[in-house]
Parts: sequence; C-alpha cells; structure tokens
Amino acid sequence: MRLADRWEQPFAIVVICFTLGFLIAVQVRALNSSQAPPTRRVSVLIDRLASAQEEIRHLRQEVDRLRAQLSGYEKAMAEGKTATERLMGELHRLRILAGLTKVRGPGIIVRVTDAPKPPPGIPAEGIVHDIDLLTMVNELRNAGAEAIAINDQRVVATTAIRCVGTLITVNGVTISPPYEIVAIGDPDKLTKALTMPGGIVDGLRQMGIVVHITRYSDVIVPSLGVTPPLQFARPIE
Amino acid sequence: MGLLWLGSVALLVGLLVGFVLAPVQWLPPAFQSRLPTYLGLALLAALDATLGAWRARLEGTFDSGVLLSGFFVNMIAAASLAYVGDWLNMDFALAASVAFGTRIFNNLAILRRILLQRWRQRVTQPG
Repeated sequence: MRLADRWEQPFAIVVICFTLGFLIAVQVRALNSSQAPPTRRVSVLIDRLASAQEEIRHLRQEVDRLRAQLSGYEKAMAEGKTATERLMGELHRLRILAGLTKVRGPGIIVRVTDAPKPPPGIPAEGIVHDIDLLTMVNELRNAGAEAIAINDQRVVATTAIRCVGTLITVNGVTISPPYEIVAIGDPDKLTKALTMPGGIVDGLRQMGIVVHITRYSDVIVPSLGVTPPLQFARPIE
Repeated sequence: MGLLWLGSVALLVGLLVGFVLAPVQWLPPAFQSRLPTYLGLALLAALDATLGAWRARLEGTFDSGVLLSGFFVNMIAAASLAYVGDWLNMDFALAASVAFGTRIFNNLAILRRILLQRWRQRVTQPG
C-alpha cells in the first residue's frame, strides 16, 4: 500500500461528505427562501395565469359580441319605431275608412225630405226610398267622399241601406225623414256629383222631393255605433 | 471508525458552511427559482455515487479516483442537463432523476444482498 493510498480514502470521504452537507444545506435554504417558490408551484401559477388571461380574453370577446348585439337590437328598435309610427298612421287612416272614429273636415250636408204634395196618382213617388239614399251615397263616394253618414249613421263598407216596410234602416237602425246626409270631401265635387243634369238630385226633384245641399268648410261625421262582428271572413296569408 | 468520524465531521462542516453562506441570494432570480431542481438532481447524483462507493467497497473494487470523479462529474452533469433542459423546454431533470433513481435502487438491491449474505455468514460461522 502506497502512502498516497492511505490518504486517498479519507480525502475522498471528507470531500464527498462536505459537498453533500453543503448541497443539502443550500437546498434547504433555497427551498425555504420565500423568494424562490418551488418550481412546480410556479408552473402551476403560470398555468393559472395563462388560463385566467385566456378567460379574460374570452370574456372581452363576449362583451364585444353582446355590445354588437345590443346595438343591433337598438337599431332594430329604432327601425321598429318608425315601422310602428307608419303602422299607427296606417291604422289611423284605416280607422277613418272603417268609420271607427268621429271625423271632421270640409264637406256638404244634403237634406232630403219627402214631397210635401205627393204627385197625384202615384203617392209612392214623392217618398224618399232606400234606393234614392243608396244612389246618393254611391254618387258621393264616386266623387271622393271620405266619410258619409245618414242621420248620424256612419256609412261604411258593411252598411246596408234598405227599406223595412215604410221606414229606412241604415246599419240596422231605423231612420226617419228628413234625411240628412253628411259627407266629407271636396264640397264642390260632391255637390256637382249630386246635381249634375240627369243626376240623382234632378230625378228626386222631379218627383217633388225637396233636396237641399249646403257646402260647409267643416262638418262632423260620427263614428260607427256598433262594429259588426266578423264571423266568416278570414284573411288569406 | 476514524473514517466514520471524519465523514461525519465533514458532513457537519458542509452543512454549517452551506447554511451560513447560503449562496442562494447571489444567483440571478431566474436561476434561483430553478435552483431546487438542479440541487435536487445534484443531491441525487451524490447519493448515487455514495451508494455506488459503498457497494464497490463491499465488492472490493473501490477506487477513490472513480468515486471522486463519478461523484462530481455526475453531479455537475445532472445539474447542467436540467439547466440545458430548461433552456430547451425539455424536462431533462425528469430523465436524470429517473436514471439516478434506477441506479440508486439497483445499488441498494446489490448492497442489500451483499449485507444479507455477510450477516448470514456471520450467523452460521460460529455455530
């Protein structure tokens, strides 16, 4: 055994043991120091951070999407408002046409009374018939009357004017002379439509029936009293 | 027995020096956070080398030069490998720990057999 061999083993043991102790101490210190958290925890935290950031990104996208949706809805609502206004206007017009509202405007009032002295021989000639009123309404409509009423009975699309015995019913309501027809429209046009030569007024006056036409700048046509129920008619899409 | 005392004293001195000096703060922060991994690997390598030395001693093939060189080279190599692995984003630390773990258990198994054999021989010889 050489001399070097005698010191080799202790030397190796000392070096190794010292290094081991040193390393263990440093390791313990490194693990305990708060500045250096364990790597696994760091990677977990990094993962969490990344996923949180990803979630934030997703939520931001969601916010953008919802904002776009909201503005879309608002736009649609604004458009819908104009559409509603248009619909309201249309509804208003149709209510006038359907006689659901009391209306006023320039027009004429026609007063028709039976002949004071019926022509001899044919007493029925001097009486105002349903057909006379119907013809007048027809002429007025042709002249552009927008609203017509006979003795406060609004004449609408479903209105029937007919004789029941010696009386005339309009909208199922019995009216009696003198008959008063109120029409809203161009007063001149309406008057001319009635009084044209060979027209309805001409014919009535020949029978001795008294017809007075007065033009007004403002007349009032009442609304339809009872709207007839719709039982059979269904709209076709 | 003298060698055992020598080893124990050296271990204690090493522990003291490590605790007192604690060169953790001198290192850059990025390295600091990864230091436990490297040091752990180095410790694993050291443990492997120590067990290997014990086994070699029992087998009669002990060589201080082999022990010393294996101890330090393995230690540095393991730590460096883990460091490079961090750079390359590869878990070389895991590979090193698996390799050293396998070796440690191998050495332990051989040590166990040798020690068991010796104990049996000692038990049977006097009787």
